[in-house]
Amino acid sequence: MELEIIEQHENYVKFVLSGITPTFANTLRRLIMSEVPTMAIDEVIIIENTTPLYDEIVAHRLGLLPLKTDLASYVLPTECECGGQGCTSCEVSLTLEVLGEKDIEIVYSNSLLSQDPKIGPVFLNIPILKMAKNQKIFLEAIARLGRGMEHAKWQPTSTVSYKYYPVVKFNEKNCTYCGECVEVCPRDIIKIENGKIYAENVINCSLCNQCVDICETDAVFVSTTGTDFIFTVESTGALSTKDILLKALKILNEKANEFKVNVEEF
Amino acid sequence: MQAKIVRKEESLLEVEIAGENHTFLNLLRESLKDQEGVLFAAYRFPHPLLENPIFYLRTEGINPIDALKIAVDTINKHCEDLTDLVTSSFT
Repeated sequence: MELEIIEQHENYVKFVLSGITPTFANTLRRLIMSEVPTMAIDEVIIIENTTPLYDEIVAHRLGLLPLKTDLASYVLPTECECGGQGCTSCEVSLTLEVLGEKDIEIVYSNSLLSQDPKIGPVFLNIPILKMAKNQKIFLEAIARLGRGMEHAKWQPTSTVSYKYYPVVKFNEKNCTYCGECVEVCPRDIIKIENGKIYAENVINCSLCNQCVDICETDAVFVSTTGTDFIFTVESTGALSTKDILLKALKILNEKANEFKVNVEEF
Repeated sequence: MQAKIVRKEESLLEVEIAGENHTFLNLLRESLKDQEGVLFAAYRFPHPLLENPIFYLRTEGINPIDALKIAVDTINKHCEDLTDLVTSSFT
Protein backbone atom coordinates (compact mmCIF):
# COMPACT_ATOMS: atom_id res chain seq x y z
CA MET A 1 0.00 0.00 0.00
CA GLU A 2 1.33 3.43 -0.98
CA LEU A 3 0.03 6.96 -0.66
CA GLU A 4 1.10 9.94 -2.72
CA ILE A 5 -0.36 13.38 -2.25
CA ILE A 6 -0.97 15.27 -5.48
CA GLU A 7 -2.60 18.42 -4.25
CA GLN A 8 -3.27 19.72 -0.78
CA HIS A 9 -4.86 22.99 0.28
CA GLU A 10 -6.81 23.98 3.31
CA ASN A 11 -9.88 21.68 3.41
CA TYR A 12 -8.94 19.94 0.16
CA VAL A 13 -6.74 16.99 -0.64
CA LYS A 14 -6.17 14.84 -3.71
CA PHE A 15 -4.05 11.72 -3.35
CA VAL A 16 -3.25 8.45 -5.06
CA LEU A 17 -3.71 5.34 -2.98
CA SER A 18 -1.98 2.37 -4.59
CA GLY A 19 -2.17 -1.32 -3.88
CA ILE A 20 -5.73 -1.53 -2.56
CA THR A 21 -8.91 -3.22 -3.79
CA PRO A 22 -11.95 -1.36 -5.16
CA THR A 23 -13.85 -2.66 -2.12
CA PHE A 24 -11.43 -1.02 0.30
CA ALA A 25 -11.62 2.25 -1.64
CA ASN A 26 -15.40 2.16 -1.46
CA THR A 27 -15.39 1.27 2.22
CA LEU A 28 -13.18 4.28 2.93
CA ARG A 29 -15.50 6.55 0.96
CA ARG A 30 -18.59 5.21 2.72
CA LEU A 31 -16.95 5.56 6.14
CA ILE A 32 -16.07 9.20 5.50
CA MET A 33 -19.51 10.05 4.14
CA SER A 34 -21.70 8.39 6.71
CA GLU A 35 -19.75 7.38 9.81
CA VAL A 36 -17.31 10.16 10.74
CA PRO A 37 -19.10 12.37 13.27
CA THR A 38 -19.18 16.16 13.10
CA MET A 39 -20.89 18.93 15.01
CA ALA A 40 -24.08 20.54 13.68
CA ILE A 41 -26.96 22.50 15.13
CA ASP A 42 -29.68 20.00 15.97
CA GLU A 43 -32.18 21.87 18.10
CA VAL A 44 -33.24 25.53 17.99
CA ILE A 45 -35.19 27.28 20.72
CA ILE A 46 -36.70 30.42 19.21
CA ILE A 47 -37.34 33.06 21.83
CA GLU A 48 -38.24 35.89 19.51
CA ASN A 49 -38.56 36.02 15.75
CA THR A 50 -40.18 39.05 14.13
CA THR A 51 -38.24 38.65 10.88
CA PRO A 52 -40.01 37.68 7.64
CA LEU A 53 -38.46 34.18 7.72
CA TYR A 54 -40.42 31.41 9.39
CA ASP A 55 -38.88 29.74 12.45
CA GLU A 56 -38.53 26.47 10.52
CA ILE A 57 -36.56 28.08 7.71
CA VAL A 58 -34.19 29.77 10.16
CA ALA A 59 -33.73 26.48 12.03
CA HIS A 60 -33.03 24.60 8.80
CA ARG A 61 -30.48 27.19 7.67
CA LEU A 62 -28.73 27.07 11.03
CA GLY A 63 -28.54 23.27 10.86
CA LEU A 64 -26.64 23.42 7.58
CA LEU A 65 -23.87 25.71 8.88
CA PRO A 66 -20.55 23.85 9.14
CA LEU A 67 -19.25 24.04 12.71
CA LYS A 68 -15.67 23.55 13.82
CA THR A 69 -15.59 20.18 15.56
CA ASP A 70 -13.47 18.94 18.42
CA LEU A 71 -13.75 15.16 18.51
CA ALA A 72 -11.49 14.87 21.56
CA SER A 73 -13.78 16.77 23.96
CA TYR A 74 -17.23 15.73 22.67
CA VAL A 75 -19.00 12.40 22.32
CA LEU A 76 -22.09 11.30 20.44
CA PRO A 77 -25.26 11.74 22.54
CA THR A 78 -26.00 7.99 22.20
CA GLU A 79 -22.58 7.14 23.69
CA CYS A 80 -22.65 9.83 26.39
CA GLU A 81 -22.70 9.07 30.10
CA CYS A 82 -25.80 11.24 30.48
CA GLY A 83 -27.70 8.79 28.25
CA GLY A 84 -28.40 11.39 25.58
CA GLN A 85 -30.29 13.78 27.84
CA GLY A 86 -27.77 16.52 27.15
CA CYS A 87 -24.73 17.55 29.14
CA THR A 88 -21.55 19.55 28.58
CA SER A 89 -19.72 16.64 27.00
CA CYS A 90 -22.31 15.96 24.30
CA GLU A 91 -23.81 19.33 23.42
CA VAL A 92 -22.91 23.00 23.00
CA SER A 93 -25.23 25.94 23.18
CA LEU A 94 -24.96 28.86 20.74
CA THR A 95 -26.95 32.06 20.90
CA LEU A 96 -28.02 34.50 18.21
CA GLU A 97 -29.44 37.87 19.13
CA VAL A 98 -29.70 40.61 16.52
CA LEU A 99 -31.88 43.71 16.33
CA GLY A 100 -32.29 45.32 12.89
CA GLU A 101 -30.53 48.66 12.96
CA LYS A 102 -30.17 49.36 9.24
CA ASP A 103 -33.03 49.46 6.72
CA ILE A 104 -32.01 46.04 5.49
CA GLU A 105 -30.01 44.08 8.02
CA ILE A 106 -28.31 40.84 7.00
CA VAL A 107 -27.49 38.49 9.85
CA TYR A 108 -24.27 36.60 9.19
CA SER A 109 -22.91 33.50 10.89
CA ASN A 110 -20.44 35.62 12.91
CA SER A 111 -23.39 36.76 15.10
CA LEU A 112 -23.73 33.22 16.36
CA LEU A 113 -22.00 33.19 19.75
CA SER A 114 -20.78 29.89 21.08
CA GLN A 115 -20.49 28.76 24.68
CA ASP A 116 -17.29 26.91 23.80
CA PRO A 117 -14.68 28.82 21.77
CA LYS A 118 -13.50 25.57 20.14
CA ILE A 119 -16.93 25.05 18.55
CA GLY A 120 -18.33 27.68 16.20
CA PRO A 121 -19.09 28.47 12.57
CA VAL A 122 -16.22 27.61 10.20
CA PHE A 123 -17.01 30.58 7.96
CA LEU A 124 -18.05 33.86 9.54
CA ASN A 125 -19.64 35.34 6.41
CA ILE A 126 -22.53 32.98 5.70
CA PRO A 127 -25.84 34.89 5.56
CA ILE A 128 -28.45 33.37 7.87
CA LEU A 129 -31.35 35.75 7.28
CA LYS A 130 -32.36 39.24 6.19
CA MET A 131 -34.58 41.58 8.14
CA ALA A 132 -35.91 45.12 8.17
CA LYS A 133 -35.31 47.86 10.74
CA ASN A 134 -36.43 47.11 14.32
CA GLN A 135 -37.17 43.48 13.56
CA LYS A 136 -35.57 41.04 15.93
CA ILE A 137 -34.20 37.52 16.10
CA PHE A 138 -33.30 35.93 19.40
CA LEU A 139 -32.68 32.24 19.67
CA GLU A 140 -30.67 29.53 21.32
CA ALA A 141 -29.24 26.74 19.19
CA ILE A 142 -27.98 23.43 20.50
CA ALA A 143 -25.25 21.72 18.52
CA ARG A 144 -24.57 18.01 18.84
CA LEU A 145 -22.33 15.44 17.26
CA GLY A 146 -24.01 13.27 14.66
CA ARG A 147 -23.30 11.05 11.71
CA GLY A 148 -23.88 11.66 8.01
CA MET A 149 -26.07 8.56 7.77
CA GLU A 150 -28.70 10.33 9.85
CA HIS A 151 -28.66 13.73 8.15
CA ALA A 152 -26.39 15.29 5.51
CA LYS A 153 -25.68 18.25 7.81
CA TRP A 154 -23.42 15.91 9.81
CA GLN A 155 -21.27 14.92 6.83
CA PRO A 156 -17.66 16.03 7.35
CA THR A 157 -17.07 16.41 3.61
CA SER A 158 -18.81 18.16 0.78
CA THR A 159 -17.08 15.87 -1.70
CA VAL A 160 -15.43 12.54 -1.19
CA SER A 161 -14.82 10.52 -4.30
CA TYR A 162 -12.37 8.20 -5.97
CA LYS A 163 -11.59 7.16 -9.51
CA TYR A 164 -9.48 4.42 -11.00
CA TYR A 165 -5.94 5.36 -12.00
CA PRO A 166 -6.02 5.65 -15.81
CA VAL A 167 -3.61 3.93 -18.20
CA VAL A 168 -3.37 5.31 -21.75
CA LYS A 169 -1.34 3.30 -24.24
CA PHE A 170 -0.65 3.55 -27.96
CA ASN A 171 0.19 0.98 -30.59
CA GLU A 172 2.74 2.88 -32.63
CA LYS A 173 2.69 0.27 -35.43
CA ASN A 174 -0.98 0.96 -36.17
CA CYS A 175 -0.90 4.71 -35.49
CA THR A 176 -1.17 6.97 -38.55
CA TYR A 177 -0.47 10.12 -36.48
CA CYS A 178 -3.67 11.69 -37.87
CA GLY A 179 -4.09 13.69 -34.65
CA GLU A 180 -7.81 13.03 -34.28
CA CYS A 181 -7.40 11.61 -30.76
CA VAL A 182 -5.43 14.72 -29.76
CA GLU A 183 -8.27 16.94 -30.94
CA VAL A 184 -11.08 14.93 -29.38
CA CYS A 185 -9.52 14.55 -25.92
CA PRO A 186 -11.45 16.83 -23.54
CA ARG A 187 -8.60 16.81 -20.98
CA ASP A 188 -5.81 17.49 -23.54
CA ILE A 189 -3.59 14.67 -22.34
CA ILE A 190 -2.56 13.18 -25.71
CA LYS A 191 0.38 14.82 -27.46
CA ILE A 192 2.13 14.21 -30.80
CA GLU A 193 5.64 15.56 -30.98
CA ASN A 194 8.54 14.73 -33.32
CA GLY A 195 6.64 11.78 -34.81
CA LYS A 196 5.95 10.27 -31.38
CA ILE A 197 2.62 9.91 -29.69
CA TYR A 198 2.39 9.96 -25.90
CA ALA A 199 0.13 10.89 -23.02
CA GLU A 200 1.08 13.38 -20.33
CA ASN A 201 -0.66 14.10 -17.00
CA VAL A 202 -2.49 10.78 -17.35
CA ILE A 203 -4.05 11.43 -13.96
CA ASN A 204 -6.40 13.95 -15.57
CA CYS A 205 -7.87 11.35 -17.93
CA SER A 206 -11.60 10.94 -17.30
CA LEU A 207 -11.69 7.50 -18.99
CA CYS A 208 -14.25 8.82 -21.50
CA ASN A 209 -12.86 6.58 -24.27
CA GLN A 210 -13.49 9.19 -26.96
CA CYS A 211 -9.93 8.74 -28.28
CA VAL A 212 -10.50 4.98 -28.57
CA ASP A 213 -13.82 5.45 -30.39
CA ILE A 214 -12.48 7.95 -32.92
CA CYS A 215 -9.31 6.01 -33.79
CA GLU A 216 -9.90 4.13 -37.05
CA THR A 217 -6.74 2.03 -36.79
CA ASP A 218 -7.27 0.82 -33.20
CA ALA A 219 -4.04 2.37 -32.00
CA VAL A 220 -5.28 3.86 -28.68
CA PHE A 221 -5.97 1.83 -25.56
CA VAL A 222 -7.49 3.24 -22.38
CA SER A 223 -7.72 1.10 -19.27
CA THR A 224 -7.14 1.26 -15.53
CA THR A 225 -4.61 -0.31 -13.20
CA GLY A 226 -7.42 -1.72 -11.02
CA THR A 227 -5.42 -1.38 -7.80
CA ASP A 228 -4.65 2.35 -7.76
CA PHE A 229 -7.21 5.00 -6.88
CA ILE A 230 -7.24 8.78 -7.05
CA PHE A 231 -9.11 10.09 -4.02
CA THR A 232 -10.52 13.58 -3.68
CA VAL A 233 -11.54 14.65 -0.17
CA GLU A 234 -13.00 18.09 0.29
CA SER A 235 -13.82 18.94 3.88
CA THR A 236 -16.57 21.34 4.94
CA GLY A 237 -14.05 22.79 7.38
CA ALA A 238 -15.54 21.04 10.41
CA LEU A 239 -12.51 18.72 10.58
CA SER A 240 -9.22 18.75 8.71
CA THR A 241 -8.88 16.24 5.88
CA LYS A 242 -6.23 14.39 7.88
CA ASP A 243 -8.50 14.07 10.91
CA ILE A 244 -11.36 12.86 8.71
CA LEU A 245 -9.26 10.06 7.25
CA LEU A 246 -7.75 9.06 10.59
CA LYS A 247 -11.18 9.02 12.26
CA ALA A 248 -12.65 6.95 9.40
CA LEU A 249 -9.86 4.38 9.77
CA LYS A 250 -10.27 4.35 13.54
CA ILE A 251 -13.98 3.62 13.13
CA LEU A 252 -13.21 0.75 10.75
CA ASN A 253 -10.66 -0.61 13.21
CA GLU A 254 -13.22 -0.45 16.02
CA LYS A 255 -15.83 -2.20 13.88
CA ALA A 256 -13.37 -4.98 13.04
CA ASN A 257 -12.33 -5.41 16.68
CA GLU A 258 -15.93 -5.47 17.86
CA PHE A 259 -16.73 -8.13 15.28
CA LYS A 260 -13.71 -10.15 16.38
CA VAL A 261 -14.90 -10.09 19.99
CA ASN A 262 -18.27 -11.36 18.80
CA VAL A 263 -16.67 -14.10 16.70
CA GLU A 264 -14.48 -15.27 19.57
CA GLU A 265 -17.61 -15.92 21.63
CA PHE A 266 -19.09 -18.22 18.95
CA MET B 1 -22.51 -4.37 16.36
CA GLN B 2 -24.11 -7.57 17.58
CA ALA B 3 -23.35 -10.81 15.76
CA LYS B 4 -25.15 -14.07 16.42
CA ILE B 5 -25.06 -17.48 14.79
CA VAL B 6 -28.10 -18.47 12.75
CA ARG B 7 -26.77 -21.78 11.46
CA LYS B 8 -23.53 -23.63 12.07
CA GLU B 9 -22.19 -26.75 10.45
CA GLU B 10 -18.72 -28.16 10.03
CA SER B 11 -17.91 -26.04 7.01
CA LEU B 12 -20.84 -23.65 6.91
CA LEU B 13 -21.60 -20.59 8.97
CA GLU B 14 -24.55 -18.25 8.80
CA VAL B 15 -24.31 -15.16 11.02
CA GLU B 16 -26.77 -12.38 11.64
CA ILE B 17 -24.94 -9.07 12.09
CA ALA B 18 -27.03 -6.30 13.59
CA GLY B 19 -26.24 -2.66 12.95
CA GLU B 20 -23.93 -3.10 9.99
CA ASN B 21 -24.29 -2.32 6.30
CA HIS B 22 -22.30 -2.59 3.07
CA THR B 23 -19.48 -0.48 4.54
CA PHE B 24 -18.15 -3.26 6.74
CA LEU B 25 -19.78 -6.36 5.25
CA ASN B 26 -18.51 -5.85 1.72
CA LEU B 27 -14.98 -5.42 3.01
CA LEU B 28 -15.33 -8.56 5.12
CA ARG B 29 -16.62 -10.48 2.11
CA GLU B 30 -13.73 -9.27 -0.05
CA SER B 31 -11.23 -10.14 2.64
CA LEU B 32 -12.63 -13.69 2.96
CA LYS B 33 -12.85 -14.19 -0.78
CA ASP B 34 -9.07 -13.92 -1.15
CA GLN B 35 -8.44 -16.49 1.58
CA GLU B 36 -7.43 -20.05 0.86
CA GLY B 37 -10.03 -22.62 1.85
CA VAL B 38 -13.00 -20.27 1.50
CA LEU B 39 -15.49 -21.57 -1.05
CA PHE B 40 -18.22 -18.99 -0.71
CA ALA B 41 -18.65 -15.75 1.18
CA ALA B 42 -21.59 -13.38 0.75
CA TYR B 43 -24.21 -11.41 2.62
CA ARG B 44 -27.77 -10.32 2.04
CA PHE B 45 -30.38 -8.08 3.55
CA PRO B 46 -33.62 -10.06 3.95
CA HIS B 47 -35.32 -6.66 4.28
CA PRO B 48 -33.48 -3.33 4.09
CA LEU B 49 -35.33 -1.74 7.02
CA LEU B 50 -36.87 -4.46 9.13
CA GLU B 51 -34.21 -7.16 9.25
CA ASN B 52 -30.51 -7.44 9.88
CA PRO B 53 -28.05 -8.58 7.23
CA ILE B 54 -27.10 -12.25 7.12
CA PHE B 55 -23.57 -13.31 6.29
CA TYR B 56 -22.95 -16.73 4.69
CA LEU B 57 -19.64 -18.48 4.71
CA ARG B 58 -18.74 -21.88 3.29
CA THR B 59 -15.23 -23.26 3.65
CA GLU B 60 -13.26 -26.34 2.75
CA GLY B 61 -10.62 -27.78 5.04
CA ILE B 62 -10.72 -24.91 7.57
CA ASN B 63 -13.05 -23.89 10.35
CA PRO B 64 -15.28 -21.00 9.16
CA ILE B 65 -14.82 -19.22 12.51
CA ASP B 66 -11.04 -19.27 12.07
CA ALA B 67 -11.50 -17.91 8.54
CA LEU B 68 -13.50 -15.00 9.95
CA LYS B 69 -10.77 -14.24 12.49
CA ILE B 70 -8.10 -14.19 9.78
CA ALA B 71 -10.28 -11.91 7.64
CA VAL B 72 -10.72 -9.45 10.51
CA ASP B 73 -6.97 -9.44 11.13
CA THR B 74 -6.37 -8.61 7.45
CA ILE B 75 -8.79 -5.68 7.68
CA ASN B 76 -7.06 -4.43 10.82
CA LYS B 77 -3.68 -4.68 9.15
CA HIS B 78 -4.85 -2.63 6.14
CA CYS B 79 -6.30 -0.10 8.53
CA GLU B 80 -3.08 0.26 10.49
CA ASP B 81 -0.97 0.49 7.32
CA LEU B 82 -3.10 3.30 5.95
CA THR B 83 -3.21 5.10 9.30
CA ASP B 84 0.60 5.15 9.32
CA LEU B 85 0.69 6.40 5.73
CA VAL B 86 -1.83 9.18 6.43
CA THR B 87 -0.01 10.24 9.60
CA SER B 88 3.34 10.43 7.82
CA SER B 89 2.31 12.01 4.49
CA PHE B 90 -0.36 14.54 5.50
CA THR B 91 0.64 17.92 6.82
